[in-house]
Amino acid sequence: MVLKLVLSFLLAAPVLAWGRSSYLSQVQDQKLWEDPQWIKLGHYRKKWFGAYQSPLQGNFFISPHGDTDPKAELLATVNLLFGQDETSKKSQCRYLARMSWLKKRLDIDPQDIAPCPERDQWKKQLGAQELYIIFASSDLNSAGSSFGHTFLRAHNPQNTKEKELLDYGINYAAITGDDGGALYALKGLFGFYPGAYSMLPYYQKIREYTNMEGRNIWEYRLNFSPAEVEFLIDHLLELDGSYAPYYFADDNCSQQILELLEVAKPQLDLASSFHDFTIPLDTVKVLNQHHLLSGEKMRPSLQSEWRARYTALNAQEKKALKKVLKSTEPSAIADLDKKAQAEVLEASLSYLAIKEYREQKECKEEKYRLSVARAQLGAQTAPLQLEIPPSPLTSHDSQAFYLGYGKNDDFEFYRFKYRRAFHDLLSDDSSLSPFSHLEVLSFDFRYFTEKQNLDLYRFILLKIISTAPVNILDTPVSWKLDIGTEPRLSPFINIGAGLSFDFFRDTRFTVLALSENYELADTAQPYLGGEALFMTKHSGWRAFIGGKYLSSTTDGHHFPEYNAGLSTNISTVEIRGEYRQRDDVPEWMLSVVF
Amino acid sequence: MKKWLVSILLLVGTQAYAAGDAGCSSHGLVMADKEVQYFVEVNQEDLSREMAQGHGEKLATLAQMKGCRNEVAQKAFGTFAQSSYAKILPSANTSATEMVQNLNKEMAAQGDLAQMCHGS
Repeated sequence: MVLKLVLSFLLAAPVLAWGRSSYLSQVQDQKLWEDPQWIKLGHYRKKWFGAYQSPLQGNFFISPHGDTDPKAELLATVNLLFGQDETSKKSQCRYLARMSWLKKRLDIDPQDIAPCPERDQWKKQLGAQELYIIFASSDLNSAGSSFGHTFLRAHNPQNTKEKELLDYGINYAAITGDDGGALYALKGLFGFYPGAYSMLPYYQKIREYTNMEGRNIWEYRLNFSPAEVEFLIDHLLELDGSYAPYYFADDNCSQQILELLEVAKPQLDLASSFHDFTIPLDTVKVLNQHHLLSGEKMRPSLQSEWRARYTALNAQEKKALKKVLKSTEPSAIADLDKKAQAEVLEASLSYLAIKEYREQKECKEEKYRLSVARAQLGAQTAPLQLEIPPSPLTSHDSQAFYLGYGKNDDFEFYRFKYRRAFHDLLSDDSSLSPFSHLEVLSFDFRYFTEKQNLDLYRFILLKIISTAPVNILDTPVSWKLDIGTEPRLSPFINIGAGLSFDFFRDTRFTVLALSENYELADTAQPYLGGEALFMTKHSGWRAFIGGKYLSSTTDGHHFPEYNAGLSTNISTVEIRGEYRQRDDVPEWMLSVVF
Repeated sequence: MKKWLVSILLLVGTQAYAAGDAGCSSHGLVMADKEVQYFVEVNQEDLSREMAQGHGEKLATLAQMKGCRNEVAQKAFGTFAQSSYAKILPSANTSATEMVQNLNKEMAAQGDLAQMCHGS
């Protein structure tokens, strides 16, 4: 009995020592500021010589040196959260994630822990138990959108089936205000905009992408426990009022989302694998490689929906569609049977909805007339079944190395090329904008065996070929832009514009008017001309054949150029053959791309 | 320098990075009693199209918000919204608020449906 009393006294002894000073010494004893989760909570990044720096600004840090000194920040946190006054209680509710982390790491008197009923109520209403990563993939008609965009969805399990639209989207974006055009661009480049998290109903968030920008949305469930999800939400709440400079290239949406995920799973090291720029599509793949994703669901964009509706119409119905869009009078298609009328009207309504976004003009009256007519026809149609495009996870890597062998005229050479990003006419189109080319920063070296010298053959700063097919209603412009140096460091700018046609499935035919300008640093040699390009991608094979005719605007010289390419994949390695004959000089090349 | 260069390239080449969402703090949850109203406000265009065809994801979401819990009830809601289209949306300029009011009124008048979908 006496022993028991002594024991219980001994056990109770630490109680007497509870309080701020005890917590501070516990922190000191454990060197808790080195804990990986504390480092992630402050968004600290390691700089040279092991120094830390956090990009966060605003009201996040308590210590004046908090952004560079995790230890000072932790001590200041414990000092603030465990004082005797009201401020401490309030601060505990302000720094929910820090508090929750401290509760796990320190031995804390329950009486020193303040309740946060308002926060609890808010979190209950949000009801987030699961987390999804949302990937907005590229607009099919725009090569430039290929990199995508990522954000999160906090899922409340009470939002079953279609009701999941009522979940909340968590987005990281630059707060740009009303700036537009050049000012927006410049400020975005140099990190003048603050980037911050925001929360919107999911249905509102995806509308920007599916309706306005024509991007399909891909959803993946993240393998996070409800406790980890809660920790992440707690951390988001504590980030309210703070921001970080937003850089379009690296400190962008995707980088921040990765860092946010690491806060809840500190054992992960995702964000640091991205150095120069963070391509959203690549971040989704990295999450997949870490086995953090499960399930996959696609939400089609308005454009995908329209395309599916249009493709499903037969020739007579397409004619009727054109007629009804021209007159916007439902009576224009009265000769079709009811089901066909319904399908034509639904297609025309999709088309008008896109047109409204694209041209920023309202066609309310037209839409209303056609909608009333569609409603009057009754049931007629079943929900649209869309063909699911290949998953973004299956798309090829954004950076690539090329090793090749070829012959230019009679000179044999070896080719070494590095491409930072992203996609070209011979690449697999899975989930990317089809028949497009988007190349950023590539270096193409050649070693000529006869001359025994290795030289930069071509450098590409930026090359875009964006093609969108003409249909009976629209004639979108296809275009190309090619900026770089060739040969060696002699700069060139080539541009072109024209039209594309999809005559058969899996093919595209493009004609462009061209302006090629080489030797810009020297005496510029502007050439004008035209190009025709036929491309096909079918069952694992990609090919193109094209011809140009160029005429000098200075000396009357004119010549043809022929191009052809063929490519396929053997497991993850791409094999491609390319042929070019420019101004009677033939060149062929075989490369492996990995 | 490299960072800037890459930034310029990305910006010129892609316009891919969505900005915006200004002024929405993380506290911005929709109040429970404004849920339907706000949902209709944001999705009025899509809802109008889906009502005209009698089915669709957002229409199904709205049906669930109006208390139609099972699939039969949601289907019935779709049929009702289609057949009452001109009453719920009497003109091209019907506002979201009017649309919700009309929807409530028309739904209440449908005895069977109101019974299938209650608790909204």
